[in-house]
Amino acid sequence: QQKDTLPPAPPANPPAASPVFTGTPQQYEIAEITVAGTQYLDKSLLLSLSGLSVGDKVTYPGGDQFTKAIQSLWSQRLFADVTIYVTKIEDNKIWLEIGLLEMPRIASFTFRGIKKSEADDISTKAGLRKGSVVTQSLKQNLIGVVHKFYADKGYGNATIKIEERKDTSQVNATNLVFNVNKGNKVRIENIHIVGNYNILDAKLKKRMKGTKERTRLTLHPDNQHVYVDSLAQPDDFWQTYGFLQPTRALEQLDPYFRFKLFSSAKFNEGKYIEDKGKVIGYYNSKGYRDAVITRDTTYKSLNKNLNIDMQISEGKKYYFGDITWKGNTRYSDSVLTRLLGIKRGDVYNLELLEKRLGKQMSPEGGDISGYYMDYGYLFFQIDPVEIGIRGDTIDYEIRLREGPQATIKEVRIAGNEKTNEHVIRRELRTIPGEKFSRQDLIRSNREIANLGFFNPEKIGMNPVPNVADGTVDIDYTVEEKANDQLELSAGWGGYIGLTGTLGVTFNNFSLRNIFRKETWDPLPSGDGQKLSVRVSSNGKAYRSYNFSFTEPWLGGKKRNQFSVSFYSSYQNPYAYQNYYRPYDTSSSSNGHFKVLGASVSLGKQLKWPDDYFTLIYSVNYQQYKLKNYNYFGITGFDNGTSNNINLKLTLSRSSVDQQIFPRSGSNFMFSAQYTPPYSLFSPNKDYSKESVSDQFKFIEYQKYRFNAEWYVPLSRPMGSDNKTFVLKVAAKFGYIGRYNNRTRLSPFGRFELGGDGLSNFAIYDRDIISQRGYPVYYTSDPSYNPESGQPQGYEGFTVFNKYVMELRYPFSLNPSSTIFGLAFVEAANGYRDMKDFNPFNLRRSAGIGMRFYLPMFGLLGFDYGIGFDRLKAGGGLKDAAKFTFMLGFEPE
Amino acid sequence: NNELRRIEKSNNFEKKLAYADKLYQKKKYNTAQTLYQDLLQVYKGTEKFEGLYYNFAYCSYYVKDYVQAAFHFKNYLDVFPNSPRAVEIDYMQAYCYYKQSPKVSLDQTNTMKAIAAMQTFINNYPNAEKVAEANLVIELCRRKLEKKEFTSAELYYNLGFYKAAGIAFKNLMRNYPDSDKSDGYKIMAIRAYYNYAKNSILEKQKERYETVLGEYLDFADHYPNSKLKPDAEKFYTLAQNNIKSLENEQNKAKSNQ
Repeated sequence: QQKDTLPPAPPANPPAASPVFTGTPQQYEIAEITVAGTQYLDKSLLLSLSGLSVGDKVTYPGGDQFTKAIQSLWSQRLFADVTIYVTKIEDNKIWLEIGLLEMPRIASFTFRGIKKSEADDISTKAGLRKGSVVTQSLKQNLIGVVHKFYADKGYGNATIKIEERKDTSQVNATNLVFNVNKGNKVRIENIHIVGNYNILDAKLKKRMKGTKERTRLTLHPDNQHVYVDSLAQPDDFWQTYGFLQPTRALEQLDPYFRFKLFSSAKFNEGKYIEDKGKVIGYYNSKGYRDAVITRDTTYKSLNKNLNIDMQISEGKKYYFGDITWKGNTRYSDSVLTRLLGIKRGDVYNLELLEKRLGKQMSPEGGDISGYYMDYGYLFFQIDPVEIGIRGDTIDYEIRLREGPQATIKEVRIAGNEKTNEHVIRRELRTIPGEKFSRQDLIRSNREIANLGFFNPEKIGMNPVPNVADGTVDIDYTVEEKANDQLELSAGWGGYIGLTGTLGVTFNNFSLRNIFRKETWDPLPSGDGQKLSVRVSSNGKAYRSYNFSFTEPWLGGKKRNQFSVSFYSSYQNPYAYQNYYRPYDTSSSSNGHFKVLGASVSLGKQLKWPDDYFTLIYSVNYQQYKLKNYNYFGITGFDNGTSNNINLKLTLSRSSVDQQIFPRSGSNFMFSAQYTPPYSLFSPNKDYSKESVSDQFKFIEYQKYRFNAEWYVPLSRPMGSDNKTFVLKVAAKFGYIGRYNNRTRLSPFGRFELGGDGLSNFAIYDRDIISQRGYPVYYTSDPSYNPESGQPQGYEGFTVFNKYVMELRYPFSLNPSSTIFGLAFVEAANGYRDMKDFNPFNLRRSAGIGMRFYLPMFGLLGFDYGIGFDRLKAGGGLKDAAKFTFMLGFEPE
Repeated sequence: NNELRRIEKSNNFEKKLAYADKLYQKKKYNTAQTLYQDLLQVYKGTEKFEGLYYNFAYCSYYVKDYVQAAFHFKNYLDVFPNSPRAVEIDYMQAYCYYKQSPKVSLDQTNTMKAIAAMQTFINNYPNAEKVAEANLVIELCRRKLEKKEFTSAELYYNLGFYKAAGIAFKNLMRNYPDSDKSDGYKIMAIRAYYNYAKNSILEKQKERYETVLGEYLDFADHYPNSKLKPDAEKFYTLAQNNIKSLENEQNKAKSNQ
C-alpha cells in the first residue's frame, strides 16, 4: 500500500464551498484574502486567478463565487488541493483564506518493459501530460488504464510500478518512471455449453465472434466441467458408425483435436459479454424467445489457460401467428404483407420482423419504413405490438403513423473549403419544393462522390425534419481531398541530352479566376474545371506537348461538358546516329515523324432513357508528317503528310457509385467515329494507281467501339468503412473499316493488343488495349507470342474483343491512400481482318494485382499475369508469366 | 543570427523573455513566437505569465494563424477572466473567427461562429468601446450569409428549377427581413413563379399563374415605392393575359363539345 504523499491539511475552519451548509445565506463583503500553502507561486497572481478580490460581494453560505474560484484555480492543474476557508465573519465583512497544496509537476515520464506504441496508447488513454500535477488519483487512474489496456489484449495479469524521481533541472518537478510487466497471455482452452438440446455447440460457438477456443492437439483432454448436462445421454456415436456425419464426428473429436488457424483465443471480458448476447440473439432468431443463459463462469484450466462454462435454458420454440395492419393509408394491407415477407406459421424471429419493418434505418432500404421514406414520409412511425399468444403462436398488430409527406425547404452545404458551392449544389437531386425521397438522397451522394473532389466515404447527408410545417431541411457535409496530380521526371543521358517529363493535372481548376491574383492559393481553384499540361522530352530524339481543358457545365446552366485539347509531338530516329557520327550527312540521317492534333468536344446529359446517359460530339483533327522515316514499315510511305479529320459520336451511360473504387453500378460506352468519305465524292478515282503517300493524304475510315463494365458487391459492407468484395465484369469490342474497297485502310486509328497498355512513345493515333500476361502481340494465333517487337508489314488489328472478370477487395479506402487488391481472369484477341474474326479464338490469362491511389501521383499499380496460351510443354509457369506496371491511369 | 541562436540555447530565462519581447516590439512575430513557446512552461503560474501569454497569443494573430490565435485568446480568457485586458481579448477571439471566414462560395461555418462570438461579446460587455465595431462585423457576416443564400437561389433559377428558385427566394426574404434588397428578392421570386407556371403542363398553368398574381399583390403591398415596381407589373399583366387566354381556350373546348 502506498502512503499518501500529501502533507496534513491546514486550519480547521470549515471550507467555504462545502456542499452541505447550514444557516441562512447572506451577503458579505470581502475584507481580506490570504493565500496559504504556496511555496513557489506568486500570491497576487493566484489571487487574480481566483477571481475574488477585496471588496467583492459574496453570498455565504451557498454562493457560487467560491465554487468558481476553486474551479478556476483547479483548472491551472498546479495544485493537489484547493480549499477556501472562512477565517472570520464580522458584521457584513468576511475574511477568507485560500489553502493551496502545491504538487510537483510531471517533467517527463517513461514507460519500461513495453513497446513505444503501447506506451503512447496508454499515455493518451490515461491523459498523461507533461506539466500536469502528480496526484494520487492520477496514479490510480493510470494503474486502471494499464490493467484494462492489457486485459483487452488477453493479458489478464499485467502489473505496473510507479517510480518518482525528483527533477533537479526544474523547479518543483518530478520524472516518472513506469515499470510495466505484461505477464502471460491467457487463452481460452474450452467453452463448455450445457442445456442446448436443439442447437449444436459448434453453431453457438460460431456466434461468439470475440471468444474462441484455442487450437489443440492432445491425447489427454481436459474434461473438467462445472456444469453437467442433466439430460446427458450415453454416447453411442462411434458404435453406430455415426462418424459418417461430419459435424457429429468433429464434435466427438473436438476434445482431442481442434484446428483454429484464423481466430485468436484471447479472452476479453467486454467481448465475452457481447458474445453471450449474440448466443441469445441466435436463439431468438430461431424462435426460442425465452432462451436465457442461466449461469456462466470462467475458471483456470489444468494447463493454466481459461475455461468457460455456460448453462442455457432454451425454452419453447415459437411461431408467428396472424399479422394485422392498422393506420396504413398509402399502401393496402396485402401490399404491406407482401413487403413484409413473413407468413403465418413462420418461425418467430423478432429481429427479422423489426428489420423488415425498418425499425433501424438501413442503407440498402427495401424495408417497410424504407418504402415510406422513399416517398417523403419522414415523420413515419411503425410499431409492432404483440396482441396475443396462443400456445406457441404469437399474433401481431402492426401500428403505423404515416404522417404528412415532407417537402424539402432548405438545402445547406458545409465543409467545402476549396470547391465553390455551386459546383456541388448543381449536382444535387434534392431540390427545394420537391417531396423528400431517399432515392434522391442516395443519388446526390453518388453525384458528389463522382465529382472526385471529396472523400467519398465521408459525405454526410442529414435530413432535419421540421414537424411544425411538414418540411425538411437537408444538410450536406463534405470533406475536401487533394486531387491534383503532378508528374515530374528528369535525367541526363549521353546522346539525347536532357530528358524529362513535367506534367500537372488540376482537377478542380477555376479559369475565370486566373487573372485575379488574390484567388491564387496556390492556384485558382474551386470551379470543378480540369486543366492538364504535360511536356515531355528526350532531347533531340523525342518531344511531346499536351494541353487539355475541361469545363463540366458550359454556361453554368446545363450539364454540358466542354473540352478542348491540343497536342504535338516529334520523333527523330536518327538522333543517336547524328550524335555519334555527326560527319555522316547522308540524307537518311535527317528525318522525323511529327504529329499535331487538336480536338473539341461537347457533351450533353440526356433526360431519356434516364439521366445517367451522356451524348458527346467531338471534332478531331490530326496531322502526321513523315520525313525520311519509314515508321510504319509500309513500302513507299517514307515521306508524306496525312490528315485525319473526323467526327466522333459517343453515347455513354455511367451509374457507378464512385470513381476510384466503384462498388456498384455500371459503365457503358458506344462510340462511332467517321472521317469524311472522300472516296464517295470521286467515285471514279482509281486509288490503286496513286502512290501510298497520296492515298494516305486524307485518311478515311469508320470506326466503332463498345465498352461495358459492371460492378457487383459480393458481400455485405463490413466494418466502419464498408469494405466488401466487388466483382467487376467487363467486355470491349472494336472495329475499324473502310467505306468501300477501292481505298486502302491506313495504319492510323487501328488497335494494338497485349502488354501493359502503355503507349511507350508511340505518338500516333492507335487504340492500345492491354492484356495482362502477354507481350504486345501481332497475330491472331494465341500460341504465337514472340517478344521481339513489331514485325515488318504489321499495321495493327482492325477488329478486337476483350473480356475481363476481376474480383477486388479494398485494403484501405482512405482518400490519402486508396489501396485495393484484385484477382483477374481475362481473354482477348485482335484480328487483322473482319474475315478472321472469331470471338472464341482468344488469348486467355489469369493473375493477381494491386492498385494504389495516392494524391499527387494518381494511380500506381502492378499486375502479375499468366498467359495460359503461352504455356509450352516443358516450360514452367514462369515462362508464361508477365509483370505489368501502370502509372497514372488504368490501361484499357 | 548568432545572438538569437545563443539565446535560444541558453537557460537564462529572464534574458530569453526580454529578447522575445524585443523581437515582439520589432514585429518579428515568428521568432518571438518560438521563444515564447519555450518560456510558457517556465513562467506558468508566475506574475509574468499574463504578459507573456498575451504577447504569445498576439503572435499567432499577427502571423495570420487565426485558428491558433482564437484558441490562445480563448485560453487567455479562461485563465485570466478578470484581467483588465479581458474585453479586448474577448473581442479578438471573436474577430479571429471573422478573419477565418472565407469567400461567400465556400463553407461559412466560421462566419456563423463569428456572429455568435460577436453577439456573446456584445452581451458580455454592452458598454465596451468595441461594441460598435462588433455590430459592424455581425452586419458584414450577415450580409455574407445573405449573399450566399441569394447565390444558391439564383443558381436554382439559372438551372431552370423555377419552383425551387421561388421557394429559395421566399426563404431568403424570411431569413433576412431587414435586407435592403428585399424587393429585388421578391421580384426574383415573381419571375421564378411566372417561369414555373409557363413551363408547367396545361392543367396546372392557371393555378400557378394565380400564384404569380398573389405574389405581385404582396409586392405592391410591401414595396409600393420600389424602383422595381414596373418589372413586377410586367409579370402581373403577362400572368393575367395568360390566364385569360387559358380561360378562352377552355371555353372554346367546352363549346366545341
